[in-house]
Amino acid sequence: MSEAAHTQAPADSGQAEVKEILRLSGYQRFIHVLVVIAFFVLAFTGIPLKFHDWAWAKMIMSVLGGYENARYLHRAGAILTFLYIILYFADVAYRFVIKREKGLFWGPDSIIPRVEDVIHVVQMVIWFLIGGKRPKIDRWAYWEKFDFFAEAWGNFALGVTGLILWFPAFFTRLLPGFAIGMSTIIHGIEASLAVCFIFFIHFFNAHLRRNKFPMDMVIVTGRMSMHEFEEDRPAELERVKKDNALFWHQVPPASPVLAKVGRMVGLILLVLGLGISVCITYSAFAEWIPRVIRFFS
Amino acid sequence: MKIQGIFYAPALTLLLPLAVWAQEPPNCLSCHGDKELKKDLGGGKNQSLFVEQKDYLQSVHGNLSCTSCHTGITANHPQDQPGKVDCGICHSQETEAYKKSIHAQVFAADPGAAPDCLRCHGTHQIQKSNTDKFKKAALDQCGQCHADYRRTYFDTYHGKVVDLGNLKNMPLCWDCHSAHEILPASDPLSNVSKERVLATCLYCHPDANVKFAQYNVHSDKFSVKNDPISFWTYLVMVLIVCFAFGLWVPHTILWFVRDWLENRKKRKGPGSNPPTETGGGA
Repeated sequence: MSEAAHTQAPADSGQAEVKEILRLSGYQRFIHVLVVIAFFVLAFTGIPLKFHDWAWAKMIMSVLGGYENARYLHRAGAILTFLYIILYFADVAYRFVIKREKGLFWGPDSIIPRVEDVIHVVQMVIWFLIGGKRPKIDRWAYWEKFDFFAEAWGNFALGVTGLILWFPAFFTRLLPGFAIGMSTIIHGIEASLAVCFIFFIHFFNAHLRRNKFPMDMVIVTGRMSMHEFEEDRPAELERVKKDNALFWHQVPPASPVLAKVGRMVGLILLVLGLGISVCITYSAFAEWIPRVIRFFS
Repeated sequence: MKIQGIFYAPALTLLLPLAVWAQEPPNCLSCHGDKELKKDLGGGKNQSLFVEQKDYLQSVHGNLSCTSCHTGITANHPQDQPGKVDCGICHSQETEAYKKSIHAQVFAADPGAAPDCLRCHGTHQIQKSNTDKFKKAALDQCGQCHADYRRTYFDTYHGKVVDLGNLKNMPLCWDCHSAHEILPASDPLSNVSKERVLATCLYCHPDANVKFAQYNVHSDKFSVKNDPISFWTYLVMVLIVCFAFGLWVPHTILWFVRDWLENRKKRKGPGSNPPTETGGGA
């Protein structure tokens, strides 16, 4: 990881204790918790408005206790979102400017896509279709990079349109009046897309995998077992071994209480999230199928 | 006895208007309480003259006598020709306002094409206009003729909140268009005309400005003619959704199938070592 890590060889503790690989720092996990809280608050207070004519939307709204509550919670969620965006960029700035971390914006440790990612996509599709060997994924898989940039784009689109809808009178001093109508359309559809994408794609990619089901605890504990590391990140492991830096990635396991709480909360959120995504998908298809039929007949 | 009295008291209160009704010298309902009572309009058409007593008593006019509104009734009834009810006897302001409206002009030319008082408010079962029940009914009443405007209203934040059950804090049709003195947007005197729409917005949005008021609240995202900007925005967004899921749904499904196949192979094969088919550094 950092340069200092490679030069100093640490004194070996000599114990045969189980070591895990640290993948996400405490700060990163903290930001993800904020993302999860904000996301759920925003989804459950906003989506009923978009699908107002469906019984499930009216039910969620009555559970929330009316639109006034939903409105305040939604704005609280928005503030939390802006907060974690600031915290994220503060971290990036700190690591780039103060710590002078190399490979933050390029190379295998960076979240920025590389040529290798395109190769991995092709290799992955080949693996899907005929089997054989999986691509040798490095620190960030291409689907994680896509998730990251999808989230970034979603935050941008929803943040800008959300602010316009929050302060329409202020923003129409700068923008034409139709910005309000445009924002309503973009905000609603982008939000539905984001919710369904998170629960149908992100959750299936990251959590509901064969060896991780029902949840990949890495997002809670920050740690991944050596075995998982070998299987999921072979390229990173090779790279780390070549640098003799494996020790710097190894940490003792997280407390089992953390994992337990994380798993429980994660499961509740998964059920809630999948529930609202199924509702959105059902309603969207029910609205669109007649439209498409009418268009072609 | 005491407990029963508690139940009788409200019931008796409900019966009070009945007492007023009963005072009416010739009891109208002795004839108009008959469901079969009809007026022959000629050409095989009939108009029912039946009045449901219960509805009337529960209406906002429930404490008025029949002749308060049906003023033309004489001793010759039913041979006389009692004219139309004039709501203006009591509601002069509203009636005068209505007379200036586009609805009144159209109604004068073709009574089927525009509403008069009764079409929106009903007749004997008239409700107070500030109840949610009346507002919802009136909203549908507007929508019967102005279906597209009703639909696009529910595309806005105003309409969505109303649909979710809050009719108190959000504007309904008549809050912007006015209830009685309703005029087409092309008329400069209209509440929603180019000249006056900002004043209408300012009523709830004290910080509104000219461009804010230019927002087309009834923009129809399904009609490229009505609002090309909304139409294309909507289409592009739908395409983004199709693109995202078109890429990732097959990806996720294929991954699942492959995982399942690999799992089965491993279970069937010489199941000894942990999975290392991914290469790894071992």
